[in-house]
Amino acid sequence: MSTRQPERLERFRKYIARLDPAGRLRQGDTLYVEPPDRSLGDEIALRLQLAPESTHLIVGGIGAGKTTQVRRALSQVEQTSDTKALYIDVSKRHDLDTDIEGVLLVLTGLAVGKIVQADKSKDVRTARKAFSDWAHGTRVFVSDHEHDDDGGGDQGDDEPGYYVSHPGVIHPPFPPLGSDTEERIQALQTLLKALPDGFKHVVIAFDALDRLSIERFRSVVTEDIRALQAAGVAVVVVGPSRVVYGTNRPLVDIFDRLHVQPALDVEKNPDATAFFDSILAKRADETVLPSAERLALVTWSGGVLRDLLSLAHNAVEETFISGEDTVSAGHVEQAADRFGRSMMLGLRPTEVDTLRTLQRRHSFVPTDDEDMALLESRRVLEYRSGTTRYVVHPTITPHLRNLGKT
Amino acid sequence: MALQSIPSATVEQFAQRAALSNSWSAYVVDHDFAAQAARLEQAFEAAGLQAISTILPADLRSFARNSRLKRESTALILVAKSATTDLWKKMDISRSFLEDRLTILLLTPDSVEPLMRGAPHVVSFIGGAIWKSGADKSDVEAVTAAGKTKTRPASGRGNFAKSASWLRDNRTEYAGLWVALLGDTLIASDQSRLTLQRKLSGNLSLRDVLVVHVEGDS
Repeated sequence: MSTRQPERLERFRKYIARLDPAGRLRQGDTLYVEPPDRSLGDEIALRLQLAPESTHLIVGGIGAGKTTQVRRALSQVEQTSDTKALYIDVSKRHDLDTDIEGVLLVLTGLAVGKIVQADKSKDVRTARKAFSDWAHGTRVFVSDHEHDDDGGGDQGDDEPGYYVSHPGVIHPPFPPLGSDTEERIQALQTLLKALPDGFKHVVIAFDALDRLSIERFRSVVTEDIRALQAAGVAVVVVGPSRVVYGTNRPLVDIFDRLHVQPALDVEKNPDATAFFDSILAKRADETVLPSAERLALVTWSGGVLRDLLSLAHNAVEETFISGEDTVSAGHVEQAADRFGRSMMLGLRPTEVDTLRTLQRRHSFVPTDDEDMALLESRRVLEYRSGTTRYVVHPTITPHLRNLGKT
Repeated sequence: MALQSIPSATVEQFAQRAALSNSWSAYVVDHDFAAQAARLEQAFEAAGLQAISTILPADLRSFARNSRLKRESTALILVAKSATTDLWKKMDISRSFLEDRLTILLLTPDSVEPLMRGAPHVVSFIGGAIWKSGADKSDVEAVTAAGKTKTRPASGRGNFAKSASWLRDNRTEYAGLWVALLGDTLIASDQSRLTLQRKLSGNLSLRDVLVVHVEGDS
């Protein structure tokens, strides 16, 4: 071994930390690498500059880099326009396992309220207090006398008789906003009018909503996103990728623009390969991760950013455990093998059949929940370079072949 | 693919890998569940990390609020016995309450498939860091061949012949103690394995060191 154990451990810990698949980067972080083409974040930023009250939905596979692009968009917008950009990881502010309707609107009110807290005017203070109450709850005394006149039903006019309802023929695709929501929109608009000098607009990004089921995503979008639109706030939402398929499509139409962050086609696009290679080069120098091994890792990643980092993380870990100082082809193979085996866990026989069909006949049409799950879990990768192309994740390809032999 | 296909590691080997990073990993245990959970905690302590283990809570928000998780250096071992897909789903969407900390999922085999189906986001963080319990067969055979020793971590790979020779020569003198050997060189000894591992922590790769309990002749 060329270095002492404590120094070696420190050295490897540094690389491992840089390759943490759960790590998130902001633009300006030294590890950020500019993508070859205009990034999704850049595109969203440009659209927000042109239409500062527009709404955007970002979808993509798990680990495709959606959060990175959202942060990039916000940073670009704030640097180049009169728009205040806010980022909220909803999962860190609210338990996504509980009711979520109304949460985005209230979180926006709280965030904008912070920006205008220097404004001591009565309207602004009242609106801020209202959002605080809506967020954290409040206790109100209700006198018993208030119920005295409540006869427990619709009394109607004095003359005898009853009401008959005749439902209308028009059924709007989405219900009208609730009266509570209308009240919150007004309060938010009060706060927006008090934005400090230099800012005319607000764009707010909500991350982590891709964890929601379609049903819960629908409830939050139909109420909160429409309310924010009505208030004149630009919105960027990270949503579940299933929303773009089948009967869920009307939900997409609530937004002005849908953006898909696909896997990068590292098999057919040399620029994508070079981009992923440079991401690794920035995080682990040649002494630990030589270029040939970097390229092998890029291929195994299938063009999914988080998988690239996981694989490199595992390869560096294997190197450390083996007592060597530099990642070799063998370590990369071990890392890919481990990764592929874990991806194969939990597959149902029908899913294995689907993967085999895709592998042999290059045929995959996502139609049912099982197909969606294969896409969501990255066992099937979707490339959108020109035409849409589906492939089996490279790390599970050898295991599928082996299954076929048994 | 069967669970048998994932790589195996001893508790200590797994802990060594997991402690390298501040991320997620999973360890599948099919026997002596409680004992292995305790060993895992001890292994993390030996690596200088405070670890707490708890049954995978249904309500992560309350758990995070009421637990000792506020300490940054805490490694969290979430014990999942026969966890259902619904429980994993809850965890997948509420995992942010655990914040960015070293998180270990200690699983029974029947919890693995529900994890894969219910928590795709968590699984994406785990990547290939899923292991099942099991000692390396050659390690166990080598230590058993030495006769009077009890296996602890299956470490010290490659130096077993020398270590076994040292154990035969020094068994009487070190009877009743835990010893750490690098080949035929004694690194440290102590009556307490935990104390011994603390002595080793941060100074040597545990992989290179054999830690064994030397039994007497009786």
